[in-house]
Amino acid sequence: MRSLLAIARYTFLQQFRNRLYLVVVLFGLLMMGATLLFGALAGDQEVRVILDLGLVTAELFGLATAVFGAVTLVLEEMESKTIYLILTRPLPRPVYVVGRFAGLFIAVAVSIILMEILHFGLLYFKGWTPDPAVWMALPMMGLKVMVMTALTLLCSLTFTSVPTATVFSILLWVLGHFGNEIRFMGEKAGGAAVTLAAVFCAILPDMTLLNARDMLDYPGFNGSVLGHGFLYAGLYTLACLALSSALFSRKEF
Amino acid sequence: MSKPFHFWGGLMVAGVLWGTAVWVSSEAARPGMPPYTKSAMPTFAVQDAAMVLNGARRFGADLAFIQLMQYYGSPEHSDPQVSYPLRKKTHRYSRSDHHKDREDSQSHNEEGHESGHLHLGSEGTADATDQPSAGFPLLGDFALRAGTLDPRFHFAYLFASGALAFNLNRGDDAVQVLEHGIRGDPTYWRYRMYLGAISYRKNQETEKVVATLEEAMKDPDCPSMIKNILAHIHIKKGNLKRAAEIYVDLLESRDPSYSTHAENQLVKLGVIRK
Repeated sequence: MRSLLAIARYTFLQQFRNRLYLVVVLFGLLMMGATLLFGALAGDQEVRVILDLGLVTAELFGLATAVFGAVTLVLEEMESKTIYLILTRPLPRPVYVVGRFAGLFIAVAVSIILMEILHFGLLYFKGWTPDPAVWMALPMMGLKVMVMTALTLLCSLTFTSVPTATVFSILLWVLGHFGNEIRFMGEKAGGAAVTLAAVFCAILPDMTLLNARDMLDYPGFNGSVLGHGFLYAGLYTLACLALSSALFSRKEF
Repeated sequence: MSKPFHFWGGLMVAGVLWGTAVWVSSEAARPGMPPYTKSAMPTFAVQDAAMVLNGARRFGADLAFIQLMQYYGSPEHSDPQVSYPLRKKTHRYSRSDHHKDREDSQSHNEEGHESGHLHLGSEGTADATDQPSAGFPLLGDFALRAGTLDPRFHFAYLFASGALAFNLNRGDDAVQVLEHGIRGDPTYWRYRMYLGAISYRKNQETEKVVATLEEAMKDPDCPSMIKNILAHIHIKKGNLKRAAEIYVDLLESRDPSYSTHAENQLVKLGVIRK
Protein backbone atom coordinates (compact mmCIF):
# COMPACT_ATOMS: atom_id res chain seq x y z
CA MET A 1 0.00 0.00 0.00
CA ARG A 2 2.83 2.36 0.88
CA SER A 3 4.55 1.80 -2.46
CA LEU A 4 1.24 2.33 -4.29
CA LEU A 5 0.77 5.67 -2.55
CA ALA A 6 4.36 6.64 -3.28
CA ILE A 7 3.91 5.92 -7.01
CA ALA A 8 0.56 7.77 -7.05
CA ARG A 9 2.12 10.79 -5.34
CA TYR A 10 5.08 10.78 -7.71
CA THR A 11 2.74 10.60 -10.76
CA PHE A 12 0.54 13.38 -9.39
CA LEU A 13 3.54 15.70 -8.94
CA GLN A 14 4.93 14.66 -12.32
CA GLN A 15 1.67 15.75 -13.96
CA PHE A 16 1.78 19.12 -12.21
CA ARG A 17 5.28 19.65 -13.57
CA ASN A 18 4.18 18.64 -17.06
CA ARG A 19 3.88 21.68 -19.36
CA LEU A 20 1.27 20.05 -21.56
CA TYR A 21 -0.97 19.41 -18.55
CA LEU A 22 -0.59 23.01 -17.37
CA VAL A 23 -1.27 24.43 -20.84
CA VAL A 24 -4.43 22.32 -21.23
CA VAL A 25 -5.68 23.38 -17.78
CA LEU A 26 -4.91 27.03 -18.58
CA PHE A 27 -6.82 26.81 -21.87
CA GLY A 28 -9.68 25.13 -20.04
CA LEU A 29 -9.84 28.02 -17.57
CA LEU A 30 -9.74 30.57 -20.42
CA MET A 31 -12.48 28.68 -22.24
CA MET A 32 -14.52 28.76 -19.04
CA GLY A 33 -14.30 32.55 -19.15
CA ALA A 34 -15.35 32.49 -22.80
CA THR A 35 -18.64 30.82 -21.78
CA LEU A 36 -19.80 34.33 -20.86
CA LEU A 37 -19.45 35.39 -24.50
CA PHE A 38 -21.55 32.45 -25.68
CA GLY A 39 -24.08 33.18 -22.97
CA ALA A 40 -24.43 36.77 -24.14
CA LEU A 41 -25.48 35.48 -27.58
CA ALA A 42 -28.29 33.36 -26.18
CA GLY A 43 -30.56 36.12 -24.89
CA ASP A 44 -32.99 34.70 -22.32
CA GLN A 45 -31.12 31.39 -22.24
CA GLU A 46 -27.84 32.90 -21.07
CA VAL A 47 -27.57 30.86 -17.87
CA ARG A 48 -28.41 27.59 -19.61
CA VAL A 49 -25.70 28.15 -22.22
CA ILE A 50 -23.09 29.09 -19.59
CA LEU A 51 -24.04 26.00 -17.58
CA ASP A 52 -23.92 23.59 -20.53
CA LEU A 53 -20.80 24.98 -22.18
CA GLY A 54 -19.00 25.08 -18.83
CA LEU A 55 -19.77 21.42 -18.13
CA VAL A 56 -18.71 20.37 -21.63
CA THR A 57 -15.50 22.41 -21.37
CA ALA A 58 -14.54 20.95 -17.99
CA GLU A 59 -15.17 17.43 -19.23
CA LEU A 60 -13.40 17.74 -22.58
CA PHE A 61 -10.36 19.50 -21.16
CA GLY A 62 -10.31 16.94 -18.35
CA LEU A 63 -10.43 14.24 -21.01
CA ALA A 64 -7.55 15.91 -22.88
CA THR A 65 -5.35 15.95 -19.76
CA ALA A 66 -6.31 12.33 -19.06
CA VAL A 67 -5.60 11.06 -22.58
CA PHE A 68 -2.36 12.98 -23.10
CA GLY A 69 -1.23 12.00 -19.61
CA ALA A 70 -2.16 8.32 -19.89
CA VAL A 71 -0.64 7.64 -23.31
CA THR A 72 2.78 8.77 -22.10
CA LEU A 73 2.43 7.50 -18.55
CA VAL A 74 4.26 4.19 -18.98
CA LEU A 75 5.56 4.50 -22.56
CA GLU A 76 7.73 7.54 -21.76
CA GLU A 77 9.30 5.76 -18.79
CA MET A 78 9.97 2.74 -20.94
CA GLU A 79 11.63 4.86 -23.63
CA SER A 80 13.74 6.85 -21.17
CA LYS A 81 14.51 3.60 -19.32
CA THR A 82 13.70 5.20 -15.96
CA ILE A 83 11.27 2.34 -15.45
CA TYR A 84 14.26 0.07 -14.68
CA LEU A 85 14.91 2.01 -11.49
CA ILE A 86 11.41 1.23 -10.27
CA LEU A 87 11.03 -2.35 -11.48
CA THR A 88 14.36 -3.47 -10.06
CA ARG A 89 12.81 -2.96 -6.63
CA PRO A 90 10.56 -5.66 -5.12
CA LEU A 91 7.43 -4.03 -6.49
CA PRO A 92 4.58 -6.06 -8.01
CA ARG A 93 3.83 -4.78 -11.49
CA PRO A 94 0.06 -4.41 -10.90
CA VAL A 95 0.89 -2.04 -8.02
CA TYR A 96 2.95 0.07 -10.39
CA VAL A 97 0.11 0.23 -12.98
CA VAL A 98 -2.58 1.04 -10.38
CA GLY A 99 -0.35 3.63 -8.67
CA ARG A 100 0.36 5.39 -11.95
CA PHE A 101 -3.33 5.37 -12.82
CA ALA A 102 -4.37 6.71 -9.40
CA GLY A 103 -1.83 9.56 -9.51
CA LEU A 104 -2.90 10.61 -12.98
CA PHE A 105 -6.61 10.42 -12.21
CA ILE A 106 -6.20 12.57 -9.09
CA ALA A 107 -4.29 15.17 -11.15
CA VAL A 108 -7.06 15.15 -13.79
CA ALA A 109 -9.75 15.39 -11.10
CA VAL A 110 -7.96 18.41 -9.61
CA SER A 111 -7.96 20.11 -13.03
CA ILE A 112 -11.71 19.46 -13.42
CA ILE A 113 -12.39 20.76 -9.91
CA LEU A 114 -10.41 23.95 -10.64
CA MET A 115 -12.38 24.55 -13.83
CA GLU A 116 -15.68 23.83 -12.09
CA ILE A 117 -14.90 26.27 -9.26
CA LEU A 118 -14.47 29.01 -11.85
CA HIS A 119 -17.55 27.78 -13.74
CA PHE A 120 -19.85 27.88 -10.71
CA GLY A 121 -18.41 31.24 -9.72
CA LEU A 122 -19.49 32.60 -13.11
CA LEU A 123 -22.91 30.96 -12.81
CA TYR A 124 -23.39 32.42 -9.34
CA PHE A 125 -22.40 35.82 -10.71
CA LYS A 126 -25.09 35.42 -13.40
CA GLY A 127 -27.79 34.58 -10.85
CA TRP A 128 -28.03 30.82 -11.43
CA THR A 129 -30.40 28.92 -9.14
CA PRO A 130 -28.62 25.75 -7.94
CA ASP A 131 -30.14 22.57 -9.34
CA PRO A 132 -29.64 19.19 -7.58
CA ALA A 133 -29.44 17.45 -10.96
CA VAL A 134 -26.31 19.47 -11.79
CA TRP A 135 -24.66 18.39 -8.53
CA MET A 136 -25.41 14.80 -9.47
CA ALA A 137 -23.99 15.29 -12.97
CA LEU A 138 -20.62 16.51 -11.68
CA PRO A 139 -19.38 13.19 -10.20
CA MET A 140 -20.64 11.41 -13.32
CA MET A 141 -18.33 13.61 -15.40
CA GLY A 142 -15.46 12.54 -13.16
CA LEU A 143 -16.46 8.90 -13.67
CA LYS A 144 -16.39 9.27 -17.45
CA VAL A 145 -12.89 10.69 -17.28
CA MET A 146 -11.86 7.93 -14.86
CA VAL A 147 -13.03 5.24 -17.30
CA MET A 148 -11.21 6.98 -20.14
CA THR A 149 -7.99 7.28 -18.13
CA ALA A 150 -7.98 3.53 -17.49
CA LEU A 151 -8.94 2.76 -21.09
CA THR A 152 -6.21 5.03 -22.49
CA LEU A 153 -3.65 3.38 -20.22
CA LEU A 154 -4.78 0.02 -21.60
CA CYS A 155 -4.51 1.35 -25.17
CA SER A 156 -0.99 2.69 -24.52
CA LEU A 157 0.15 -0.73 -23.25
CA THR A 158 -1.57 -2.56 -26.12
CA PHE A 159 -0.34 -0.43 -29.03
CA THR A 160 3.00 0.79 -27.59
CA SER A 161 2.79 3.85 -29.86
CA VAL A 162 1.63 7.24 -28.58
CA PRO A 163 -0.26 8.39 -31.72
CA THR A 164 -2.05 5.05 -32.19
CA ALA A 165 -3.03 4.87 -28.53
CA THR A 166 -4.30 8.47 -28.64
CA VAL A 167 -6.38 7.89 -31.77
CA PHE A 168 -7.88 4.66 -30.43
CA SER A 169 -8.71 6.26 -27.09
CA ILE A 170 -10.52 9.16 -28.75
CA LEU A 171 -12.30 6.71 -31.05
CA LEU A 172 -13.50 4.70 -28.04
CA TRP A 173 -14.72 7.92 -26.37
CA VAL A 174 -16.72 8.86 -29.47
CA LEU A 175 -18.15 5.37 -30.03
CA GLY A 176 -19.01 5.12 -26.33
CA HIS A 177 -21.34 8.08 -26.75
CA PHE A 178 -22.86 6.54 -29.84
CA GLY A 179 -24.20 3.47 -28.01
CA ASN A 180 -27.89 4.38 -28.27
CA GLU A 181 -27.56 5.05 -31.98
CA ILE A 182 -25.65 1.80 -32.59
CA ARG A 183 -28.41 -0.18 -30.84
CA PHE A 184 -31.04 1.75 -32.80
CA MET A 185 -29.33 1.00 -36.12
CA GLY A 186 -29.01 -2.66 -35.13
CA GLU A 187 -32.73 -2.85 -34.38
CA LYS A 188 -33.57 -1.15 -37.67
CA ALA A 189 -31.40 -3.59 -39.63
CA GLY A 190 -32.79 -6.57 -37.69
CA GLY A 191 -31.52 -10.16 -37.58
CA ALA A 192 -27.87 -10.69 -36.67
CA ALA A 193 -27.27 -6.94 -36.60
CA VAL A 194 -29.12 -6.74 -33.27
CA THR A 195 -26.71 -9.20 -31.63
CA LEU A 196 -23.72 -7.62 -33.32
CA ALA A 197 -24.74 -4.16 -32.07
CA ALA A 198 -25.28 -5.55 -28.55
CA VAL A 199 -21.80 -7.17 -28.51
CA PHE A 200 -20.21 -4.01 -29.89
CA CYS A 201 -21.95 -1.87 -27.25
CA ALA A 202 -20.90 -4.26 -24.47
CA ILE A 203 -17.22 -3.97 -25.43
CA LEU A 204 -17.34 -0.19 -25.72
CA PRO A 205 -17.48 1.93 -22.57
CA ASP A 206 -21.14 2.83 -21.94
CA MET A 207 -20.74 6.60 -21.95
CA THR A 208 -24.47 7.12 -22.52
CA LEU A 209 -25.08 5.74 -19.03
CA LEU A 210 -22.55 8.15 -17.52
CA ASN A 211 -23.45 11.15 -19.67
CA ALA A 212 -25.50 12.86 -16.96
CA ARG A 213 -24.90 16.30 -18.48
CA ASP A 214 -27.51 15.43 -21.10
CA MET A 215 -30.00 14.04 -18.57
CA LEU A 216 -30.44 17.18 -16.47
CA ASP A 217 -34.05 17.85 -17.50
CA TYR A 218 -35.18 14.22 -17.62
CA PRO A 219 -37.49 13.05 -14.83
CA GLY A 220 -35.89 9.60 -14.46
CA PHE A 221 -32.49 11.05 -13.56
CA ASN A 222 -32.18 10.15 -9.88
CA GLY A 223 -29.97 8.45 -7.30
CA SER A 224 -30.50 5.06 -8.93
CA VAL A 225 -28.88 6.25 -12.18
CA LEU A 226 -26.05 7.72 -10.15
CA GLY A 227 -25.60 4.43 -8.24
CA HIS A 228 -25.56 2.36 -11.43
CA GLY A 229 -23.13 4.86 -12.95
CA PHE A 230 -20.72 4.57 -10.02
CA LEU A 231 -20.90 0.77 -10.05
CA TYR A 232 -20.47 0.51 -13.81
CA ALA A 233 -17.59 2.99 -13.99
CA GLY A 234 -15.84 1.31 -11.04
CA LEU A 235 -16.13 -2.17 -12.54
CA TYR A 236 -15.14 -1.09 -16.06
CA THR A 237 -12.14 0.84 -14.75
CA LEU A 238 -11.00 -2.15 -12.65
CA ALA A 239 -11.42 -4.43 -15.66
CA CYS A 240 -9.21 -2.11 -17.74
CA LEU A 241 -6.62 -1.94 -14.95
CA ALA A 242 -6.61 -5.73 -14.57
CA LEU A 243 -6.07 -6.12 -18.30
CA SER A 244 -3.36 -3.43 -18.29
CA SER A 245 -1.60 -5.22 -15.41
CA ALA A 246 -1.83 -8.52 -17.28
CA LEU A 247 -0.27 -6.96 -20.40
CA PHE A 248 2.36 -5.14 -18.37
CA SER A 249 3.34 -8.37 -16.59
CA ARG A 250 4.37 -9.85 -19.97
CA LYS A 251 6.57 -6.94 -20.95
CA GLU A 252 10.30 -7.71 -21.11
CA PHE A 253 12.71 -4.94 -20.14
CA MET B 1 4.59 -15.51 -8.75
CA SER B 2 5.26 -16.45 -12.35
CA LYS B 3 4.56 -14.21 -15.34
CA PRO B 4 1.98 -16.58 -16.92
CA PHE B 5 0.06 -16.62 -13.64
CA HIS B 6 -0.06 -12.82 -13.59
CA PHE B 7 -1.10 -12.69 -17.22
CA TRP B 8 -3.86 -15.31 -17.17
CA GLY B 9 -4.97 -14.31 -13.69
CA GLY B 10 -5.27 -10.70 -14.84
CA LEU B 11 -7.22 -11.73 -17.91
CA MET B 12 -9.66 -13.79 -15.82
CA VAL B 13 -10.21 -11.02 -13.29
CA ALA B 14 -10.70 -8.50 -16.12
CA GLY B 15 -13.23 -10.81 -17.77
CA VAL B 16 -15.28 -11.22 -14.59
CA LEU B 17 -15.22 -7.47 -13.87
CA TRP B 18 -16.11 -6.59 -17.44
CA GLY B 19 -19.00 -9.11 -17.47
CA THR B 20 -20.36 -7.64 -14.24
CA ALA B 21 -20.03 -4.11 -15.65
CA VAL B 22 -22.01 -5.12 -18.76
CA TRP B 23 -24.71 -6.63 -16.52
CA VAL B 24 -24.90 -3.43 -14.43
CA SER B 25 -25.15 -1.40 -17.63
CA SER B 26 -28.00 -3.56 -18.94
CA GLU B 27 -29.90 -3.24 -15.64
CA ALA B 28 -29.55 0.55 -15.40
CA ALA B 29 -32.40 2.89 -16.23
CA ARG B 30 -31.67 5.28 -19.09
CA PRO B 31 -33.57 8.49 -18.66
CA GLY B 32 -31.58 10.27 -21.37
CA MET B 33 -32.49 11.38 -24.82
CA PRO B 34 -33.86 9.14 -27.60
CA PRO B 35 -31.38 8.04 -30.30
CA TYR B 36 -30.37 10.82 -32.62
CA THR B 37 -31.39 9.73 -36.09
CA LYS B 38 -31.51 12.70 -38.46
CA SER B 39 -30.69 16.39 -38.39
CA ALA B 40 -33.61 18.69 -39.13
CA MET B 41 -31.21 20.84 -41.19
CA PRO B 42 -28.76 18.91 -43.41
CA THR B 43 -26.53 22.02 -43.65
CA PHE B 44 -25.69 21.61 -39.98
CA ALA B 45 -25.59 17.79 -39.97
CA VAL B 46 -21.81 17.61 -39.38
CA GLN B 47 -21.90 20.09 -36.50
CA ASP B 48 -24.83 18.27 -34.90
CA ALA B 49 -23.22 14.85 -35.37
CA ALA B 50 -20.01 16.13 -33.74
CA MET B 51 -22.03 17.21 -30.72
CA VAL B 52 -23.80 13.83 -30.50
CA LEU B 53 -20.51 11.93 -30.79
CA ASN B 54 -18.99 13.97 -27.97
CA GLY B 55 -21.96 13.41 -25.70
CA ALA B 56 -22.87 17.10 -25.86
CA ARG B 57 -26.40 17.02 -27.29
CA ARG B 58 -27.69 19.56 -24.79
CA PHE B 59 -24.93 21.98 -25.66
CA GLY B 60 -25.47 21.20 -29.37
CA ALA B 61 -29.09 22.28 -28.90
CA ASP B 62 -27.85 25.48 -27.23
CA LEU B 63 -25.64 26.19 -30.24
CA ALA B 64 -28.56 25.52 -32.57
CA PHE B 65 -30.63 27.97 -30.53
CA ILE B 66 -27.89 30.64 -30.71
CA GLN B 67 -27.81 30.12 -34.48
CA LEU B 68 -31.60 30.48 -34.52
CA MET B 69 -31.32 33.78 -32.66
CA GLN B 70 -28.64 35.00 -35.06
CA TYR B 71 -30.74 33.97 -38.04
CA TYR B 72 -33.82 35.69 -36.65
CA GLY B 73 -31.77 38.79 -35.95
CA SER B 74 -30.31 39.03 -39.45
CA PRO B 75 -32.09 41.52 -41.74
CA GLU B 76 -30.98 39.66 -44.87
CA HIS B 77 -33.19 36.69 -43.98
CA SER B 78 -36.35 38.76 -43.68
CA ASP B 79 -36.79 38.20 -47.45
CA PRO B 80 -37.97 41.58 -48.62
CA GLN B 81 -38.84 40.32 -52.13
CA VAL B 82 -42.27 39.26 -50.96
CA SER B 83 -45.04 41.01 -49.11
CA TYR B 84 -44.04 42.26 -45.72
CA PRO B 85 -47.16 42.39 -43.59
CA LEU B 86 -45.49 43.62 -40.44
CA ARG B 87 -44.91 46.93 -42.20
CA LYS B 88 -48.29 46.80 -43.96
CA LYS B 89 -46.67 46.64 -47.41
CA THR B 90 -48.34 44.83 -50.22
CA HIS B 91 -46.28 46.10 -53.16
CA ARG B 92 -42.99 44.62 -54.31
CA TYR B 93 -39.95 45.69 -52.42
CA SER B 94 -38.09 48.44 -54.30
CA ARG B 95 -34.67 50.04 -54.03
CA SER B 96 -36.14 53.10 -52.28
CA ASP B 97 -37.78 50.80 -49.74
CA HIS B 98 -34.41 49.20 -49.18
CA HIS B 99 -32.85 52.58 -48.34
CA LYS B 100 -35.76 53.46 -46.08
CA ASP B 101 -35.43 50.11 -44.30
CA ARG B 102 -31.73 50.68 -43.78
CA GLU B 103 -32.45 54.05 -42.24
CA ASP B 104 -35.16 52.51 -40.06
CA SER B 105 -32.76 49.80 -39.02
CA GLN B 106 -30.05 52.31 -38.18
CA SER B 107 -32.35 54.46 -36.09
CA HIS B 108 -33.57 51.26 -34.45
CA ASN B 109 -29.99 50.37 -33.54
CA GLU B 110 -29.36 53.83 -32.21
CA GLU B 111 -32.22 53.23 -29.81
CA GLY B 112 -30.19 50.42 -28.36
CA HIS B 113 -31.36 47.37 -30.29
CA GLU B 114 -27.96 46.34 -31.43
CA SER B 115 -28.64 42.63 -31.16
CA GLY B 116 -30.63 42.90 -34.36
CA HIS B 117 -34.13 41.87 -33.32
CA LEU B 118 -35.71 43.64 -36.22
CA HIS B 119 -39.27 43.18 -35.11
CA LEU B 120 -38.87 44.34 -31.58
CA GLY B 121 -40.78 47.52 -32.14
CA SER B 122 -43.50 45.85 -34.15
CA GLU B 123 -43.81 42.54 -32.30
CA GLY B 124 -47.40 41.49 -32.01
CA THR B 125 -48.67 44.30 -34.22
CA ALA B 126 -49.43 41.99 -37.15
CA ASP B 127 -53.14 41.20 -37.41
CA ALA B 128 -54.43 37.72 -38.00
CA THR B 129 -55.97 39.01 -41.23
CA ASP B 130 -52.59 40.12 -42.57
CA GLN B 131 -50.80 38.05 -45.18
CA PRO B 132 -48.27 35.60 -43.74
CA SER B 133 -44.72 36.88 -44.05
CA ALA B 134 -42.33 34.83 -46.12
CA GLY B 135 -39.41 36.20 -44.13
CA PHE B 136 -37.17 33.88 -42.09
CA PRO B 137 -38.27 30.75 -43.98
CA LEU B 138 -35.93 28.52 -41.94
CA LEU B 139 -36.97 29.72 -38.50
CA GLY B 140 -39.11 26.64 -37.87
CA ASP B 141 -36.35 24.33 -39.10
CA PHE B 142 -33.88 25.88 -36.65
CA ALA B 143 -36.31 25.19 -33.80
CA LEU B 144 -36.85 21.59 -34.95
CA ARG B 145 -33.08 21.15 -35.14
CA ALA B 146 -32.59 22.37 -31.56
CA GLY B 147 -35.51 20.16 -30.48
CA THR B 148 -34.14 17.08 -32.24
CA LEU B 149 -30.87 17.46 -30.35
CA ASP B 150 -32.58 18.09 -27.02
CA PRO B 151 -36.28 17.15 -27.08
CA ARG B 152 -36.75 18.93 -23.74
CA PHE B 153 -35.47 22.29 -24.89
CA HIS B 154 -38.88 23.88 -24.29
CA PHE B 155 -37.69 27.44 -24.67
CA ALA B 156 -36.55 26.95 -28.28
CA TYR B 157 -40.00 25.64 -29.25
CA LEU B 158 -41.83 28.42 -27.40
CA PHE B 159 -39.61 31.14 -28.83
CA ALA B 160 -39.82 29.95 -32.44
CA SER B 161 -43.56 29.23 -32.35
CA GLY B 162 -44.23 32.64 -30.79
CA ALA B 163 -42.18 34.40 -33.45
CA LEU B 164 -43.80 32.42 -36.26
CA ALA B 165 -47.36 32.90 -35.05
CA PHE B 166 -47.36 36.45 -33.71
CA ASN B 167 -44.60 38.22 -35.64
CA LEU B 168 -44.55 36.47 -38.99
CA ASN B 169 -48.21 35.51 -39.01
CA ARG B 170 -47.41 31.90 -39.95
CA GLY B 171 -49.69 30.08 -37.55
CA ASP B 172 -49.48 26.77 -39.40
CA ASP B 173 -45.68 26.69 -39.17
CA ALA B 174 -45.91 27.55 -35.48
CA VAL B 175 -48.35 24.68 -34.92
CA GLN B 176 -45.94 22.32 -36.69
CA VAL B 177 -43.11 23.41 -34.38
CA LEU B 178 -45.28 22.96 -31.28
CA GLU B 179 -46.48 19.53 -32.42
CA HIS B 180 -42.84 18.47 -32.77
CA GLY B 181 -42.28 19.75 -29.24
CA ILE B 182 -45.25 17.79 -27.92
CA ARG B 183 -43.87 14.60 -29.49
CA GLY B 184 -40.59 15.22 -27.63
CA ASP B 185 -42.21 15.97 -24.29
CA PRO B 186 -45.95 15.25 -24.14
CA THR B 187 -46.11 16.26 -20.46
CA TYR B 188 -45.18 19.90 -21.07
CA TRP B 189 -48.63 21.52 -20.99
CA ARG B 190 -47.46 25.00 -22.01
CA TYR B 191 -47.15 23.83 -25.62
CA ARG B 192 -50.89 23.24 -25.63
CA MET B 193 -51.44 26.66 -24.13
CA TYR B 194 -49.51 28.23 -27.00
CA LEU B 195 -51.48 26.11 -29.47
CA GLY B 196 -54.64 27.56 -27.93
CA ALA B 197 -53.35 31.13 -28.27
CA ILE B 198 -52.46 30.55 -31.93
CA SER B 199 -55.89 29.09 -32.62
CA TYR B 200 -57.64 32.05 -30.93
CA ARG B 201 -55.52 34.42 -32.95
CA LYS B 202 -56.54 32.70 -36.17
CA ASN B 203 -60.18 33.15 -35.21
CA GLN B 204 -59.43 36.79 -34.26
CA GLU B 205 -60.53 36.21 -30.66
CA THR B 206 -58.16 38.83 -29.23
CA GLU B 207 -59.53 38.65 -25.70
CA LYS B 208 -58.83 34.93 -25.53
CA VAL B 209 -55.35 35.44 -27.02
CA VAL B 210 -54.60 38.01 -24.31
CA ALA B 211 -55.96 35.73 -21.56
CA THR B 212 -53.85 32.79 -22.79
CA LEU B 213 -50.67 34.85 -23.15
CA GLU B 214 -51.26 36.35 -19.69
CA GLU B 215 -51.35 32.79 -18.36
CA ALA B 216 -48.21 31.92 -20.33
CA MET B 217 -46.45 34.94 -18.87
CA LYS B 218 -46.67 33.50 -15.36
CA ASP B 219 -44.28 30.76 -16.42
CA PRO B 220 -40.60 31.50 -15.67
CA ASP B 221 -39.76 29.88 -19.04
CA CYS B 222 -41.86 32.44 -20.93
CA PRO B 223 -39.69 34.09 -23.62
CA SER B 224 -39.24 37.87 -23.37
CA MET B 225 -40.54 38.03 -26.91
CA ILE B 226 -43.97 36.72 -25.84
CA LYS B 227 -44.11 39.30 -23.04
CA ASN B 228 -43.22 42.01 -25.56
CA ILE B 229 -45.93 40.79 -27.94
CA LEU B 230 -48.48 40.85 -25.11
CA ALA B 231 -47.47 44.39 -24.14
CA HIS B 232 -47.95 45.52 -27.75
CA ILE B 233 -51.38 43.91 -27.92
CA HIS B 234 -52.32 45.77 -24.73
CA ILE B 235 -51.10 49.06 -26.23
CA LYS B 236 -53.18 48.41 -29.37
CA LYS B 237 -56.20 47.76 -27.18
CA GLY B 238 -55.53 50.95 -25.22
CA ASN B 239 -54.73 49.09 -22.00
CA LEU B 240 -51.61 51.15 -21.29
CA LYS B 241 -51.47 50.37 -17.56
CA ARG B 242 -51.09 46.63 -18.13
CA ALA B 243 -48.63 47.24 -20.98
CA ALA B 244 -46.50 49.36 -18.64
CA GLU B 245 -46.59 46.60 -15.99
CA ILE B 246 -45.33 44.09 -18.54
CA TYR B 247 -42.56 46.45 -19.66
CA VAL B 248 -41.49 46.87 -16.03
CA ASP B 249 -41.26 43.07 -15.87
CA LEU B 250 -39.26 43.06 -19.11
CA LEU B 251 -36.68 45.41 -17.61
CA GLU B 252 -35.38 42.30 -15.81
CA SER B 253 -34.97 40.35 -19.08
CA ARG B 254 -31.63 38.64 -19.63
CA ASP B 255 -31.82 39.71 -23.27
CA PRO B 256 -30.48 43.29 -23.29
CA SER B 257 -32.37 44.16 -26.49
CA TYR B 258 -35.68 43.52 -24.70
CA SER B 259 -34.75 45.30 -21.50
CA THR B 260 -33.58 48.37 -23.47
CA HIS B 261 -36.72 48.28 -25.60
CA ALA B 262 -38.87 48.03 -22.46
CA GLU B 263 -37.07 51.02 -21.00
CA ASN B 264 -37.72 53.06 -24.16
CA GLN B 265 -41.38 52.05 -24.17
CA LEU B 266 -41.75 53.03 -20.52
CA VAL B 267 -40.29 56.44 -21.39
CA LYS B 268 -42.79 56.74 -24.25
CA LEU B 269 -45.63 55.77 -21.94
CA GLY B 270 -44.44 58.38 -19.46
CA VAL B 271 -43.83 55.87 -16.69
CA ILE B 272 -40.16 56.71 -16.32
CA ARG B 273 -37.93 59.56 -17.47
CA LYS B 274 -34.86 59.04 -19.60
